[in-house]
Amino acid sequence: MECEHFNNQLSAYADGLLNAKESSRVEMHVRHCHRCAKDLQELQKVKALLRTLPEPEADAFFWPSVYSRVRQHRVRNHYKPVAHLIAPHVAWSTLVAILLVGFVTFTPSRINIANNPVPTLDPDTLITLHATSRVVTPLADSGELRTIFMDTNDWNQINQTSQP
Amino acid sequence: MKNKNNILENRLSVKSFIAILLCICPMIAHGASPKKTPPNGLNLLRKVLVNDSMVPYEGRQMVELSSGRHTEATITQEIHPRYNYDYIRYVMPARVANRVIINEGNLHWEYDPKLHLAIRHFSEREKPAPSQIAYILHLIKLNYFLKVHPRPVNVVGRACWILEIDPKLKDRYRRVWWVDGANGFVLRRDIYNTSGEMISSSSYTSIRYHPKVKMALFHFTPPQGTRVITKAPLKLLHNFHETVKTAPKWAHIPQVLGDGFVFQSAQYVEVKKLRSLHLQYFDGICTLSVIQVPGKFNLQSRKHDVIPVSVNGRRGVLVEKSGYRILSWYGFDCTISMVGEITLHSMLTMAHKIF
Repeated sequence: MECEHFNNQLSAYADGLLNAKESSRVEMHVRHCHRCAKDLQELQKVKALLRTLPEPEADAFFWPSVYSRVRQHRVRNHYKPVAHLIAPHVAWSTLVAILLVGFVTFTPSRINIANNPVPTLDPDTLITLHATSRVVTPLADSGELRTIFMDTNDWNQINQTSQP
Repeated sequence: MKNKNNILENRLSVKSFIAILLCICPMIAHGASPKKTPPNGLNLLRKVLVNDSMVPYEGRQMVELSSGRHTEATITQEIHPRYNYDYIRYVMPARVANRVIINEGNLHWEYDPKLHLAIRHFSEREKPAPSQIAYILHLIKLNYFLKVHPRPVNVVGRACWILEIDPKLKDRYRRVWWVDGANGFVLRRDIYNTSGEMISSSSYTSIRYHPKVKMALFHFTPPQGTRVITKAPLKLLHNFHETVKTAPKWAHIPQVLGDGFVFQSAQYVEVKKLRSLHLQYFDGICTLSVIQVPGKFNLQSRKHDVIPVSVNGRRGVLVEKSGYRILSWYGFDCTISMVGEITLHSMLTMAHKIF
């Protein structure tokens, strides 16, 4: 019973989602339980493998095709009374299969982001660009813009670089 | 009898003279102040646009910005003798006091004596042509309800009409302006967010029109020991077709974003040392930026400030900062960021039209 409890927590442990107390309890259990130790090793191997996969991009036609297939099933159900009893099972199993494929396809990208962080854009840079272009807009509130520019990253960045 | 008649005639003429005087005086007084009947909202806006930056003045402006619990006030002393000529000195807050902004024609200077730093750039700000004014008014008419209060009010000794600019779609800010009836100068501007809270108020606490100014004031020479930074000039493309023609392959440039927002201008900017495209859309008053940077980028922010969203099946994020909303997602070859002050729902609807 206790083994089953820890075994259920192995995935969360491998993802680093457990708190310190729970993690140490899992570690203690794994030291004594060969089955759980083997399962944990397996889990870590799979996760390491997923990390090495290239980051996939969703096909632009992925979701439209899902919707159209679901719609086709609906239409079929409407016109074929015999298929009415079978079609829901087929539709559900198709949807579950697609969702599973989607899950497997998207999981590596999440792991990749965590390990190889994508370069970032500073929101202040974008706000400054937006506000700068507003200056030339007729009817723009110059007073408000002046206040926005007062502490823009322009001044801050230049000031930082000009420090000895 | 004759004498009596003469006296009576004289009295009558004096009475009629007084009567005429009494009739004329209010008319003269009435003529001095703006008309009592309120102007049409669109005509009042036209007056504001035509006279924008054309009224010579000297005054002190106070701006209050509030975002949630935080409110900040800024006071500036301003001299504006003619179009594209300005001398603006910050009085408050203390950290930026004595910083100046000087416009001498197309040359723009910002100077901070505390930092011994001056930033200069050239801008080609041109007065809008009558056709542009007509276009802006047309957009405003499509996207806003205009209402002028029935009676003028006094603002720093000037008779002003209160103009309410209410968006037809409740996804953007509402504005209230106090417009000088004599010259169309906006003496006060209040901005309210979609929840009806006032987020900004800019008002002149003193004003003097047609001041005597020495033009030498606008010729700025940085004091010795000042570090001068020259920024790249702002080059705006106003022609949509020209923008599309010259755009790189990764760019997505719709002419209309929906909900009243149309293409206004485009410019190439440098973001992360990459030549990026900054598109600007507007509805006559409110502006929306669409910034496209080649490559994949995440928006830098703390985890709890980010709202995950989906744009055409692609993962995106929404971040709110300094009263602005930034919606960012990855297109095919570029990261698209939409910056504006409209609601998330409207932003998402428009984002679907970009990519």
